[in-house]
Amino acid sequence: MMIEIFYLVKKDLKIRSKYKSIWLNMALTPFFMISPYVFSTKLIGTESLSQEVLIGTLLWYWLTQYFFGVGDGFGEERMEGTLVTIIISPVKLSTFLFAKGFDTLIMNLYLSFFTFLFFIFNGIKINNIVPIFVLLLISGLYITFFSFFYAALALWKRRINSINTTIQYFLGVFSGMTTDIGLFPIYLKAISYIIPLSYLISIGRNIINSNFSNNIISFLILNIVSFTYLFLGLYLLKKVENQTRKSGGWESW
Amino acid sequence: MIKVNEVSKSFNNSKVLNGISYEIKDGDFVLITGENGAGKSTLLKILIGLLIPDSGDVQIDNFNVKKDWKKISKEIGVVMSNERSLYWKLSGRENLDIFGGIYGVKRNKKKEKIIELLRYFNLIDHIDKPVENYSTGMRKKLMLCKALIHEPKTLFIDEALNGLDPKATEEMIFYLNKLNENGLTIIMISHILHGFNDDIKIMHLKDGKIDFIKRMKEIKNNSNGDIYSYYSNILSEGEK
Amino acid sequence: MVNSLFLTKANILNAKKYKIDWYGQFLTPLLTILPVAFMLYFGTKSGMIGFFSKEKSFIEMMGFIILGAAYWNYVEVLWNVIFHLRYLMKVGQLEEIFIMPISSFGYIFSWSVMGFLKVTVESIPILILSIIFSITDFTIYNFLMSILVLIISIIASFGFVFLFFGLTLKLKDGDELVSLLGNASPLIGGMFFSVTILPFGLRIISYIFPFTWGLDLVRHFLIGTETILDIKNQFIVLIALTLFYLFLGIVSFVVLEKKSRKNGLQGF
Repeated sequence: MMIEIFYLVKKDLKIRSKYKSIWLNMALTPFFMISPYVFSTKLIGTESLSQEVLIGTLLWYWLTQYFFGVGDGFGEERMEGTLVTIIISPVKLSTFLFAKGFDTLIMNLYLSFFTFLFFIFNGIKINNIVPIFVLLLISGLYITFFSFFYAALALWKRRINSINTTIQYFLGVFSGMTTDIGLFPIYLKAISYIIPLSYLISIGRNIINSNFSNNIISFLILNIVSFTYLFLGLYLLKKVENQTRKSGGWESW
Repeated sequence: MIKVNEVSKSFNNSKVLNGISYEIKDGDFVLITGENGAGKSTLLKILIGLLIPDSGDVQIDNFNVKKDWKKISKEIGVVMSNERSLYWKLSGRENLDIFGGIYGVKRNKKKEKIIELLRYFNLIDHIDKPVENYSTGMRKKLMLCKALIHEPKTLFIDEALNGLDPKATEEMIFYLNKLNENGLTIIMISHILHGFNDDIKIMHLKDGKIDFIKRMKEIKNNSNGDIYSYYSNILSEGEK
Repeated sequence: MVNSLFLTKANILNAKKYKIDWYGQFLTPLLTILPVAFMLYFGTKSGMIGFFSKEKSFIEMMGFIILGAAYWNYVEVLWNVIFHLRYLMKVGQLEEIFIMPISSFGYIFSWSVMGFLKVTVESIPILILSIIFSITDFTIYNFLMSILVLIISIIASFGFVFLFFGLTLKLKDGDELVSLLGNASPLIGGMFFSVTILPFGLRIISYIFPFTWGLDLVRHFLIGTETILDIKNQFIVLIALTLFYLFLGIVSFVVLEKKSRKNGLQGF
């Protein structure tokens, strides 16, 4: 499995290296996308709010990349024309998605480096950058698990991908990307609690404010929620695989 | 050995395959023919596990294709009809490197195998060019290389000769004949029938059933060498 | 050109089969501002946010931002032409499309018509919200002036489309540049706050962007905000930049299209 993941990631990186503009886009876009939210707080809020919104929106941006990379992984391969080639190879669907997750992690680390750099140039720094970096690394795993579930859904109901961006925004808002979910009314909190990103953002904000002890419970619940999505995703993936093999619909979208 | 046992398949209440049973022995070269819509591609997809039949089963070397299709995938090579099944932005070498890796070919062996295959199929001069710059014939040959990189026992081919010029067609058929002579089992869908070795078997499908199975030699003898006239007669008279 | 409208018809027929695409895109303008809406609303409640200058209340702030979202909706919709072009490249249909008796301008036109139809439908919730949030300076004159500014902005947007269409034909990954520009636009175009408070470097980029001036004028006419320059000069700047980008776009497009057809349109 690891060898297969290695070659799939190698393939994606090689193809991406042929398109120079992608690297420029990835380096600059996150800063431009999240800076309106961060700069808004800089103008009208406290410094700690700026940092909290930065970590929240950056983690949300990570989620968007996973939803595109992992969530839409099958769709991308189909558009390339190589989906069936991958399906008939020894690579399992779950291995394929893990490979996409790893590839997305590499790209996310790349874009995060530039994003932090640009914000530092603009006077917004992050406290406790090393623990934040560790958080980003491990968040890759949990968001991959969450994206698994979405990818399985997208393979089952193909057109869900059309509202991928919409779903990302809803997830971002309800996970507290710009607002502490503690301020939400109970009916909104209920939605927040089933989104793994909510816990990651909460942990990130605690790290920024040097409240490390508050993270233990969040981390435990994050594991429970994320692994639940992983197992649900794996189950759904197997079901959809069998269904698609019966219907012969690998190439239809 | 491939055993096909009473395989049936329908799509939208339309029966595409109806109780197909057949055994393909190691070293056989089976050409699957038939009109458009006869069920050829459907049968091939069932043989490689991409499609699950409504009833019946397929066994390859005692593995059940429905359950063990991922295990079997390392023992078979597949050439689909779609030219886009390669990574167009990557070179021939890079494509074979990636697919060789995915199919578990060891690194040193893979390097040798890539050069060997590309040389054999006359692609060595284009080894580092991106596939998007290849001609149709070159892409089809590279697809064959990709299917052979892991030294499978059986090769499945879906209409790989479509769109090739006469010389490229002749070349491909020559390679396939040679591979079969060296012991590779080949199951191939094709509308092109000339140029193949005499001992290959032709399985003609009609209305989802096997219409006949004959050796090429027998067909050539019955048709005075004009295979296509023979087929025209079959289609118009419905000979069994 | 009229023939190219059949492509629009094809797009509409296709869209009818995939209604779910519309649901998502219908909500997109609102979704872009939803995070900041939550931030402002809950932030105010928690005391972590206070307001500055004229936009003192949450309602007025939201009116400011919503107008920005509506304006950008119309400007950016044309840039989807580039993503559509890229999609055709990836699925191998570009050559098929180009051998039809329709000029490249015809394609841009037909794909834009579809975009305008969509964005007009998508703008309905935004317009309703704007009315609910009470646009205070609404008069017929102001409304007509803001339409005029929007039309000029759309012409400028066409200039960008021609430029990126040519770049995409030549370089293949021109859609990445469009994506970058589209993502940068809310910041450098002043969608969330006035560009006058951006750092110097970003402000310069902002000033050479015609839409910065366009949005600023639309806001002035509809909700009475102050403009960066006086109205007359701002119109001159907007028109000058529009003509510049239109000219640049058309020239680049003609040159790049010829070059790409010389190299071949296959590949992506």
